[in-house]
Amino acid sequence: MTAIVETKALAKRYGNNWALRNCTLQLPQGGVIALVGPNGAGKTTLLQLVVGLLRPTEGTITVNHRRPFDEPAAVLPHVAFVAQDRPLYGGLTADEHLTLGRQLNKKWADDAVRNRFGRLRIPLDRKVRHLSGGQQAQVALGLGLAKQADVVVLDEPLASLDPLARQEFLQTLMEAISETGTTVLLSSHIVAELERTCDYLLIIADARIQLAGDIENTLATHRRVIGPLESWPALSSLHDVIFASHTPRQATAVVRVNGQIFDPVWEVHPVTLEELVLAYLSRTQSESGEPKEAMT
Amino acid sequence: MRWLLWRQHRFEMMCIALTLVLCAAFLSLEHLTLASAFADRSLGQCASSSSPSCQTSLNAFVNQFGSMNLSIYWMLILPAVLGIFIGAPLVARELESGTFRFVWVQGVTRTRWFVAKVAALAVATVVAAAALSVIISWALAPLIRVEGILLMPSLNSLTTPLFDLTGVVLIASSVFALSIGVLAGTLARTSVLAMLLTLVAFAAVAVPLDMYRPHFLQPETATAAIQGGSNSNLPAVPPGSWVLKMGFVDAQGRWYDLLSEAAGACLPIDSSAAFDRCISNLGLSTYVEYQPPDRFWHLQVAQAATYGGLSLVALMAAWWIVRRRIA
Amino acid sequence: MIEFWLNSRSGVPPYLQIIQQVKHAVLVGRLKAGDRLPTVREVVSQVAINPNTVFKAYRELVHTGIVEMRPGLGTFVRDAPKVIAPADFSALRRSLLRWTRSARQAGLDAAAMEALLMATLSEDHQMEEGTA
Repeated sequence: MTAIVETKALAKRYGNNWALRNCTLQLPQGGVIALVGPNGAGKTTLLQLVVGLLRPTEGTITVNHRRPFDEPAAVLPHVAFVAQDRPLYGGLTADEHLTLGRQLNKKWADDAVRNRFGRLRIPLDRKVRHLSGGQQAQVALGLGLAKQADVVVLDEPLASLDPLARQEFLQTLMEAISETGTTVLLSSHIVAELERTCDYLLIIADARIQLAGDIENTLATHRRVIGPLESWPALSSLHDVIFASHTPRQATAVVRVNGQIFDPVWEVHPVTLEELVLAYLSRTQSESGEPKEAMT
Repeated sequence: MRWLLWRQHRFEMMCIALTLVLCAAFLSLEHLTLASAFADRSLGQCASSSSPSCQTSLNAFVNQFGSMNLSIYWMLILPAVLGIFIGAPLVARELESGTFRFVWVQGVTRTRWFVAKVAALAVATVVAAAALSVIISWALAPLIRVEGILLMPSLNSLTTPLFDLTGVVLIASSVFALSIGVLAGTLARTSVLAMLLTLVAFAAVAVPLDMYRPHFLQPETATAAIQGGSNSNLPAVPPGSWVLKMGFVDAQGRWYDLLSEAAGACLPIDSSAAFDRCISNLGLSTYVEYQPPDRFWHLQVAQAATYGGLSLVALMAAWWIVRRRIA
Repeated sequence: MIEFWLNSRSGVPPYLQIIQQVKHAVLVGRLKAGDRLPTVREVVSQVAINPNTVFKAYRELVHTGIVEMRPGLGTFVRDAPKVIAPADFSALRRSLLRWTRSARQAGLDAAAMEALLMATLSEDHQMEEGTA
């Protein structure tokens, strides 16, 4: 697996506030990488560091072995960014945005994007501020995909979209990358839709990466266990406890298993992606002692 | 980037052009009035104000049309307007609306984007300001010529507003206003705040600079003895000079505004002869401080260079902020 | 052409669902020998799913001999689909009946039996994945 984005002890501080700390990652090329975490956890910071909008305070980040902030001319042709709230020029039409893209980028797949806008029935000659949220999202995505970049970075692309718009957005995205080896890095605070589209998971909370790994492997190595409280100490000594929520009657926890759970007294269930993420985030919250925003 | 520059700034360019056209129209009307009056009174024949008939008609001309100097006073705010409405929003608008997160991640680097935008607007500014300068000089030429012949006119090409609106100063101050506007935009990050900052910063430089102009070069002085009990003996000052101060000096070099102060000891006047003797005992003479007209270009270049240097500093600071600090 | 649908609540991984739907379609005759499966791109534009997942499912189907890839043409259902021999089928059905009877005696109702079956299937799959 080649790592297209690598970070080493990457950190970013705003004034006295650390938005990201000690982030070391190798993101696999060709993967669809989900970055999940509560609002304010550091998702936007990490994504903006990848595309060179932010400068690292500590550590390094490279895309294709080049530093995005220091070498923008080398990196920009290889990354595409769809920022949160998809900033577009409200007074320009979709057609004018395409012209803008063609002017400012060396590689530009104009026809493919226009075809797609046509299929989605997006009016090209209307000012972007008069388009619906879903249409704006499709325009922003189309502009990002037209660059034919190696890495497409999307910051909360599904937030504020209705379910149909969300579905269409993901369809467009998946279709576009199905024939290229494009790496996708997208952040979300809604986990449910990510399971079918993403194959690599990053959980971020409290400005730190809590988990980084292939989704299937991760789900395969985690279990939800339910059993009697008396047996808990034995189990917790053998396996990594992610988050336990016991009641007076029984022990319930999400654990990362080391080998098999042989004791028949335990009910062992697989975890869904959502349960997994919740467990990691709950662990962070209980460690820091501060109330976090609820995950949807 | 050419398409983007035009598409995003075409409205501003058209406003500049429209302003230029309106000013030109206004000034052309003034020119018609001046030119016809000048010709009617055959003022072209007066090369100096030495002959009494010339002196009378020249003075009459200035008395009648001198207010045209002030009619262009309002044009002094044009550079500031340019800085506020075109310079300040340049970067601030992108920061405010978040579109910088779109346009700075396309294929052009921030530096190239910044340089292209600033260069385009600067060129437009220089062209427009130069055009306006020339038009003003042409339109008010008859008046300027007359003021250049008279002794000690109150307004001429060395004084505000003409000095600031002709020659190269208008170009330099306009570029400065644009530069300080762009810098304000990178600092304030919202358009409204940037505009306010631009207004304040521009005034903070332009006003003191204008006030300092009289002393940029050591002014010339001239004195003349007072005769006949009258203080109408003026020193020999070149025609068209910019008079900074007029008054009286005594033998000790003390300076007085009014004769009544200077010669207080000589009052009340017994006889004109006694008065004359008293005055010459005090060693009083009339005194004028002035800038001669041949210093026009020297002063122009000095003020323009100051604006130019500050513009460069402002633009470099703005570029540095865009490249390194908005991160 | 077959159209896929995904049940995100079933607990079954997406790629397994695709495999199951293809197998089921072949079993009931909706997919016949020589029929072309939709391309990865076509699947992905219907169902917003990671293309890698579809690749994986198709690879697995090739591996188990249900479909074959013809270069430049696509993925096609093979001539001899795996059919379960009637004898095996009835033997399995009988042992399943025995199991349901013991489960009922142990106090499980139909819903509980279904839950247990789903969980076991899932766990079995996970274990097979782990050893594969």
